[in-house]
Amino acid sequence: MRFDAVLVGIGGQGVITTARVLASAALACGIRVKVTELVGVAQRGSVVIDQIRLGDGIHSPTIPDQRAHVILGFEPAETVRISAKFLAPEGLVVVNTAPIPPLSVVMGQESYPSLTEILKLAQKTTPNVVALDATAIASQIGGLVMVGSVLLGVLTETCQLPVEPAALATGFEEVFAGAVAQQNLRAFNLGRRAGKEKTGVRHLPAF
Amino acid sequence: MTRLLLLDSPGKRIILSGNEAIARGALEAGVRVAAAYPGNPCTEILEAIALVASERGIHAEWSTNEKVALEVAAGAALAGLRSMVSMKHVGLNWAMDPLMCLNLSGVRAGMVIVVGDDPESRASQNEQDSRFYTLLSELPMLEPSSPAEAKDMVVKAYEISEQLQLPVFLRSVQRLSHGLEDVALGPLPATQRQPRFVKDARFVVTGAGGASLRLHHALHAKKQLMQKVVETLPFNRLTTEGHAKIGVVASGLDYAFVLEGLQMLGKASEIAVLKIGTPHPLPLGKLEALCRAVETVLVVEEVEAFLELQIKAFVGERHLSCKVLGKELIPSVGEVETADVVNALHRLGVSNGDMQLPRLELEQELDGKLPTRTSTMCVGCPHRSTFFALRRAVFKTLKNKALFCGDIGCYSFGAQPPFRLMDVKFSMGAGLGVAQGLVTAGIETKIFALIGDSTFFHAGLPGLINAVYNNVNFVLVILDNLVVGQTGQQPDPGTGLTATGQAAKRIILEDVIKALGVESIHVVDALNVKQAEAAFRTAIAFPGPGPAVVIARGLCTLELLRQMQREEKKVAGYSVDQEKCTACGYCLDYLACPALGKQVDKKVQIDLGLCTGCSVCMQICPPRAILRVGA
Repeated sequence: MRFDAVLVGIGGQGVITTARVLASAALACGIRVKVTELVGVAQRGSVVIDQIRLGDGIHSPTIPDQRAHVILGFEPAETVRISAKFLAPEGLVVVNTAPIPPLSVVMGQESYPSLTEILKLAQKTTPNVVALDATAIASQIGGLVMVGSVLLGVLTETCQLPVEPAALATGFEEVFAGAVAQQNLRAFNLGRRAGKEKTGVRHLPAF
Repeated sequence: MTRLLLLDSPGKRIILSGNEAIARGALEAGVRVAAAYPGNPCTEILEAIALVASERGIHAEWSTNEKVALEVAAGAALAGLRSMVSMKHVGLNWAMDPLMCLNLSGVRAGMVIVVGDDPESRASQNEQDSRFYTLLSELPMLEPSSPAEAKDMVVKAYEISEQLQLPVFLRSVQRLSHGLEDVALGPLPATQRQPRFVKDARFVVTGAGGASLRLHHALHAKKQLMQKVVETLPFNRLTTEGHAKIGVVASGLDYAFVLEGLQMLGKASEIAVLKIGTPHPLPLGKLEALCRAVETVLVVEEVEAFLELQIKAFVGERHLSCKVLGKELIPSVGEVETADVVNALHRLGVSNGDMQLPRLELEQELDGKLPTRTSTMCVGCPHRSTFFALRRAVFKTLKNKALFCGDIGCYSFGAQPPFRLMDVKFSMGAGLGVAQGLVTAGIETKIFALIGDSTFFHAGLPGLINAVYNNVNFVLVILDNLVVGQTGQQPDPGTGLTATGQAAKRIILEDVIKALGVESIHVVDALNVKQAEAAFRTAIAFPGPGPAVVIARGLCTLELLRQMQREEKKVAGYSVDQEKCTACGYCLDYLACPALGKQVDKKVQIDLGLCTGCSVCMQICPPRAILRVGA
């Protein structure tokens, strides 16, 4: 079994924490884990890219080009930006449609593509794109920082994730304390519901 | 994390980062003193140890700089307690001075020096390859290929250190320090050593009486034992098949990429691989066996040709016939990837199989259609306010005829538009010295140096003393956000807290600077634009003697937000009165706060989800169109 996923977003969105939850959950299922974090100066608005590799016999903590089964995108532009490098042909993109405009856009120097354009660009890499406003769902639980947990929920319902939902609950409890773990679990379940409403479980490309 | 780090369940697997694994290794080895200065990628090592310090009877401290940190660890090791010092690669440049005596005196308890390199310079001013320091210091170095191996290496390093009575290096890199892996825990020691200082003439390292020469001989004599030790370590591993024509040598994380590359090519059993766990000294027995077994040796390493140089020298010395290739085929700048290994092997005639060609054109096409994403100061950062005030003062009084020497920290974002307050930047504290060089050279432009509070304590003090003593007139701006900001808001000597959260004496910057005899000192609230600008104008006008210093003080916003969250306080934001806003764009053009959004009608509105209530936009808005929400 081999499962390679890339989590991408902006510093502060919870990309790293979500990767930890997934890693802890995988370990709880007895699955070996390797994660590479690319953080840079992310707290000041730049991109965070986490590569998660689950399975046996994995040597490198980085995913070779075009071998990722899944890209879990917390921010639309950054998701599209890395998709050509990482995503396997016909791999799955699960992307949050709520944009975080970079400074240049906020200042009126550049423009941010419309959602339709973003989805069209995403589809240049793969036909399998699941797009939803995970930020809006997370806001219902009262936290933009829950976006990652929502997206994990969507992921469990839109691909053959080798990590059981029950294990993900364990993951939340390992990474968060008490009440926060429960909040994230609620966000996760809302994500699952949203994921079920999208098209059903997809088959992962085999390697 | 505290709970996980303290787990005494040998064999249990938990998810740890490379840094956490190194910290856990220190706990399993019974380290009692840990010292460090924050620096990416190693910052989290001391942070993790500090979390559990009191439970484990460990003294964990943030030291003023890496030189002091190494000296503290050295003292502990001389007193019979195992110690660890951790730092980023450029921090080792500071620690090398005492280390070049410690290698001669030796240590009595084990001491490990963890150095984190940053190939690709993702969070540093350069990507220097710290492995070269082993040649200068003649000390052994271990380099892990995974977080799990890092923990095992730390534990073993202390045994080796005590066997040799020498400090031992452990080299990490960005992707290993911050990578995660499932790691099997080892046992935690049940008992603790008692400190003991046994007098030893070898602790006095001096040229007098030939002492230093004797110690140097002794260090050389230890090399034989070092060589024997590394040959038996499981971290150095040779796998060779009888028919392999090509052998690959790799150390550290690059070993993982080599294995991955061989797996992708389907050639894992046809190519010999020498895994290097000790970049210095190299396991020469295994190296010779490899060189005799194959025709071509490919060296895969980041960043420089460190192993390659040693291997080429060895091959020449022993008159071996194999060809050695390294940086001819592997990048000599930046990180090495699995793809680099595959490309190098392809060029050596190892077939590509059904490799995917990189989709570079598609990558570029997508990137071209997306806005650029740069990082900048956080919303509400006090540095933004300071820069605004400084730039306005410089514009009004000097017509922008000024040069700025920057330094290391978040304030280096001042280089970006709209402020453009950086003409030279090197390393910690260098801004002050270079500024003085510019003044002394006689340029007819006002010279400024910008530095942060922790950087000033670390490295800037000698530079300021120099300016007073040698009578050099320039303006020093100290951006005091009361923490070590860029690395994650750790406490520094001006904060009032230790690494373990105890109350600490606050060293007051202005008191120190006054005591130096600086004759023009101003302390301002960084978020008070009028006050800051007035202070800059006065400092600019100060003709000497010596420098003028402006301390712009304002708590780092990330730390402020954390405190507010703990105290359950809410942010009082600001908003733009759309009727009063004239769409002049002044705030966008000259403040450039990420919370300010330009609307379709060119008027501005503030994103209340981002606004931290610093009030600076309100202070500078020409038509006074910005108000506190709820006011």
